[in-house]
Amino acid sequence: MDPSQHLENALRRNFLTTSASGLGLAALCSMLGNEKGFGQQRSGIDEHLASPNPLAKKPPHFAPKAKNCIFLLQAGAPSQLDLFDPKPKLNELHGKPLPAEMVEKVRFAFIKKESAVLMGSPRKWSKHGECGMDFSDFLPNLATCADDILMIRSMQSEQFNHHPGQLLLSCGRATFGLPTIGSWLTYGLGSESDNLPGYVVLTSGRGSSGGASLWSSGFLPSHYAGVLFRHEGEPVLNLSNPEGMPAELQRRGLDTLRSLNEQRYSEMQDPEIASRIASYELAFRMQSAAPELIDLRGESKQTLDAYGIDRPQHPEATGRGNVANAHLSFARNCLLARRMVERGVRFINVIYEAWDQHSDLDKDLRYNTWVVDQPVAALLKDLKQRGLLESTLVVWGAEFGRTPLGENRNGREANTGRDHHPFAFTLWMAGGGVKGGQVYGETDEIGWGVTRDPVPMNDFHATLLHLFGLDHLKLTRRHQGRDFRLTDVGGNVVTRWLA
Amino acid sequence: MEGLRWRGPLPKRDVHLFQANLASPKSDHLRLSRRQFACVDRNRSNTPLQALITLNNESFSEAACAFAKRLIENSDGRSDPEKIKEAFRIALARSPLASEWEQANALLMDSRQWYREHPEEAKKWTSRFPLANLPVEEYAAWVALARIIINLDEFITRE
Repeated sequence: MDPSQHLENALRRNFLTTSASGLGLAALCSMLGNEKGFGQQRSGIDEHLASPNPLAKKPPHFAPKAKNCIFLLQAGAPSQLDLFDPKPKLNELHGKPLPAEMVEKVRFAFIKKESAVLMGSPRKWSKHGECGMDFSDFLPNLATCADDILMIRSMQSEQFNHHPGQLLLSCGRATFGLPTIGSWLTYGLGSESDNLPGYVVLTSGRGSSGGASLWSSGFLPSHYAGVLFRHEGEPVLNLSNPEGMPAELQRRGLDTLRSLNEQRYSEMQDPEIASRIASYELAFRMQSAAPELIDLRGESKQTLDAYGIDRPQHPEATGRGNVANAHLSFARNCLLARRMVERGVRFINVIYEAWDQHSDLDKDLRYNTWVVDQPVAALLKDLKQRGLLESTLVVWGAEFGRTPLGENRNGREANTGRDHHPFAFTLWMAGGGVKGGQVYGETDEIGWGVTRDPVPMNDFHATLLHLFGLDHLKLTRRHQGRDFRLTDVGGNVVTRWLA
Repeated sequence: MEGLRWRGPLPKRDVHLFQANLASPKSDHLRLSRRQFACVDRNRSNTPLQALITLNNESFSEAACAFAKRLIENSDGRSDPEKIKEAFRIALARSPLASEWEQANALLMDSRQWYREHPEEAKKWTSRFPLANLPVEEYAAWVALARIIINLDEFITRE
């Protein structure tokens, strides 16, 4: 077949589909007297035709408190019982089994129910700030930020393994193919930055076992996906033009590229082509903006030291958190996150996958908390001092918590770790319009279940969107015949979290 | 891959290891499958970092240079318009529309003009695969066009 014939067929097919939903919709809307077309509904294709930049700023549903989010994803699940939620009773019951009826219907990732016993925490606890918030001795720096922190001790997940749990935390449902929080925010609000992506992902150490599904745009066009920076060496490569290709000719070539891609887009109506055009234009602008972003020489020594940019390695560096100088990349990522907030990046996902302590909990937790405690506290104080904390939501948390039971895998002499625990765990937030100096929710005497104010993941998401001026019920996207939300079919805004 | 011919049944494990060892920053940004397990559907992605790779990475500059060299060496004295059509045919398996052809030709002419004024740059730009029998600014202009063609959405993505 003549290739041009093939193209004509493709065009005919596309005309039929796009005219059904395009021309037909336009006709219907004008009949209904609604010129904008379906009120709050935001259709990708119409949006592209109306606006040359699909990431252009969009108004929220109501006045927002937060403009940017730094999501410090502590993948692997840190132990709330050794960091945030002290349980003296658990120490008393150390070595004792749980009543059989309590564990009867529970699924564990690894624990053998028959011989499982409770495991106390050797941590020392003290109260901090005017609010008197509990922190264990592993978090001395973070403890000094207590009055800015909203400590949520009653988080609940439905998933007891890492990747499904991380999907639930990131997408609102433990399923592939859904947009992540950062994608929903950039979809709803656009990007504040002309020269950098609206949604950036930074990783330390092992990277992320959940991979790209944790920053995917799902069924949203791919320009709403997170952009992964490198964690070793230069964060962004290929920022300079190749030898023999000067800036003016680069721009000239890109003009042709854009024009040819636009022509293709007008024929195919595929939003992914619009994404491609936006990516190339952003890439060109990043060539001048990104080197400035990642150059830390303008930061004062005081700032660099506060974050611990050049800290020497911990003398007892150990465990799964100690990979590829994670202590340096995590500190740098925290500082880069602040610099991105200053430059208008909407959502920065800082991933440290280090916390899956099925064994050697004390040793590994000592190291991991050393990695994060200083930079995270520095980040909060730095944001506050620059007046950015009010509009920047900082989230620190993971897909679930860890069990009050010690982990007793076959062949182990002693319990030195904890298993996955989705029924009750701790996550904290600061800034961005949350009411700090507050402990929300309560767990029972051994930290097994929630006894007051349980927070399902959908409520967490509904409240997060609310802080950004978005109504989680209205921020929708039609896909496969129905409207989808970050909060799936649940979600209530937790008003007591709001400042 | 010419040199890599196996005799007998394909040693699957070694092929996987070989592919795994090819991992590079490019494979991260382009979201290549890690080949640890079957990949039913590749993740769709479309980021500015990918655009930076296909625009500025050395291997893509080499590819553009090799593409232009192939066009010129196989042209048998064909005219510019015919060579542009041939470039579209090789890259996209179709002829350019009239408007596409015009855009490509305009870029070719502007690039030719620029490299004529900057012969040193033209030399650097074409040094990846030098070509003896052609003025260097002429060759450089074709490399500039070839580079844009291999950055077209239609070339990068199979719809």
